[in-house]
Amino acid sequence: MTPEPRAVLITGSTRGIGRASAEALLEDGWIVGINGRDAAAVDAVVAELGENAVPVPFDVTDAAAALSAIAGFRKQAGRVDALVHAAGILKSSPVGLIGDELVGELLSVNVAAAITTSQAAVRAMARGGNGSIVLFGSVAGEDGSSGQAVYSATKAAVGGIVRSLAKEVGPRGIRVNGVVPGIIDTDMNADLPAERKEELAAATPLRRLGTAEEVASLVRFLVSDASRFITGTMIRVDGGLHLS
Amino acid sequence: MTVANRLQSAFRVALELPEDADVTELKYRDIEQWDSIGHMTLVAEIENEFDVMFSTEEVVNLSSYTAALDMLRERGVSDS
Repeated sequence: MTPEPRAVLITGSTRGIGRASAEALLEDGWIVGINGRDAAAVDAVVAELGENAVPVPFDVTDAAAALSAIAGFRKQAGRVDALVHAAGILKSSPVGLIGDELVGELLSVNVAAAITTSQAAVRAMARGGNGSIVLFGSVAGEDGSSGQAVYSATKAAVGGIVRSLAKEVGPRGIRVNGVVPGIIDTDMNADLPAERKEELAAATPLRRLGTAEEVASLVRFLVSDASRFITGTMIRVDGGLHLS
Repeated sequence: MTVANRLQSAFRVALELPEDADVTELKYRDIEQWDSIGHMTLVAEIENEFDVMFSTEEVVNLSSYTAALDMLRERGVSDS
């Protein structure tokens, strides 16, 4: 008998690391919930990715919408085995110019949404007695980054969420881990000047920026049974940047 | 089957209790199985059984069997 396909919801999966993760998991036979705020963009990606991609559009900062959408995805797919919370924003501001709006926006998307989507996912996974949640940190959150005090704080907070949730839901078979990308060549870093990208590549022992697909490889591992004894960790995919 | 009977069954399934367990006086954390994750399992089981979805506030307030029954009745769920 063919086993029932597993189902994963990936927030922020219309582009970048989220989309690369969706493509990787579709290759592995998963049913993948594709999420973004823009329903038309979600539909367009779903049309490109094929029948096992399911549109799940909602704004991750709207907790009620997230709860409803994840419950709807569970009904549609019949199960939820994993959540990959790839939605996030990067904004910089030097100290002295940090405004309340920036603080609120980064906290809302990078921290509060990670908690609310994880909570909704735990609810969807609880009946199955197993599951995997993958959140995203950043090297800025681990090491600090000039001009990114707020962004760094929100990404450091993800580590706290990962470790706390892992302790709480581990006894029920649900694993929670974090991926810590280094400097990845995606839209999120599109605003970096070419010179700065070259500097960052030079500071990376592997002498280049990473790709979304390389980060997706770790996501693929963390939602799979191959990582079944790994929880509560923040794993870096940074080309050795932490050694610099 | 009455709402009460269906709800009691959902409690027993979600909290892995024997078929004859009396859950009508049960409150959150009364028993080891009804911890925070057991609560999520219970909420999911009730939502599935009655095809409803609770808000986060309702999930927080679902602190006993009686509270759950009241919530379902407030939503107009009736005996089938």
